[in-house]
Amino acid sequence: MRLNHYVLILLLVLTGCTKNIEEKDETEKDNSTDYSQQIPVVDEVWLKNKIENRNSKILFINFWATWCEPCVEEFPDLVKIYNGHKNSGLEFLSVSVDLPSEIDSKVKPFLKEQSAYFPVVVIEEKRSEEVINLIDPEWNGAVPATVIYDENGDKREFFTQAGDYEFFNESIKKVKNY
Amino acid sequence: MFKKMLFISVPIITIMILVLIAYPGSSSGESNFVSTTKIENFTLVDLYGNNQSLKDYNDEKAIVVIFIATRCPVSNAYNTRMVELYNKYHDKNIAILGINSNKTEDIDECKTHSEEHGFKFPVLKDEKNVIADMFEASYTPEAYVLNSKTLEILYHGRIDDSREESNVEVADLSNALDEIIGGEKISVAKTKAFGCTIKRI
Repeated sequence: MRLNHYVLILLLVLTGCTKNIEEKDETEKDNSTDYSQQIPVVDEVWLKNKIENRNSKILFINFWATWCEPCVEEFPDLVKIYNGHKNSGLEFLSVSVDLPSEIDSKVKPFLKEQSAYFPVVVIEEKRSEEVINLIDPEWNGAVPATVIYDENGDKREFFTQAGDYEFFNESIKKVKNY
Repeated sequence: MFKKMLFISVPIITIMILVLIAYPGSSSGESNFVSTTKIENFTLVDLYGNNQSLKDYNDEKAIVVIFIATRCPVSNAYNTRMVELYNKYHDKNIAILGINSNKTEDIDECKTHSEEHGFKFPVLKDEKNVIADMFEASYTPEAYVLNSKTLEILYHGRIDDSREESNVEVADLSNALDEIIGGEKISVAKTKAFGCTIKRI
């Protein structure tokens, strides 16, 4: 009888441990696609610092939103651009102009769906105008928009229309050879 | 002598620093990007087949032109606010016109959209985005306020500073219209916001 008790307790402990291990695995799996730490809400000051601190890398910034049809269309090509250039002296920054309140509900699910693992930031809505003017005083804020800065932080390319892999790749090459 | 100079210069430098802190934008020429351009009179068909020209409204105090879309969530976030603008200003001699320049949204779609959202202001269909090109409009919703007689652009930019009505702090377009009605100079003539690109041909 006493032995049966020990066996029962042992079984309960083991089952409990297994459950804990399973829960831990599940959490780790979620974390690998969880952007909570990687999607800060930023303003023009943050972006200006990013542009100026180049560390000998050119900077490719794409402005987009989940509500923007052409942005969504060009997104797979941007993922390809990032994957192809991440080890070649290119810093890639994806700037979403979705609302900060939509990070969890819209931005993260979209990035997961696109298997996009590049750095993403979201613009603080009240700083939109300052961000637009920092990038280009002639830009009125239509997205998508893409801007490429050289290793010195000088703006070399700026497009306010959607592009494809070939187009972005050529633009990056052009800036690298400048 | 040196002490005397120091005595005079310290307060002057302090005042200069304080002025610079108080008016940081005053020397940066921010108003330089306000390109005051003029629009030529044009005629477009509204959603019910009627011709509408800007000169039809030259007895009004000002004409508001808003480039809108049926499928852009940013533009759609402003549907109620555009109706509120009409309600607030139509009897104060301010004309409001919506223009749809998107090639992807045909006149029937615009009509359904306008009726569904209770737009009381005319919506004009800009086939081949000729009028969007004339205004150099690039996104929706993008607003312009014109002098009804000279068709000079008095205000250009966003309707207000938030896509979420509950977060609006500055109602830029309303402010400009209130200043026009009050006979004042428009204090902020150019603003910007993120929006959907106008789908051109």
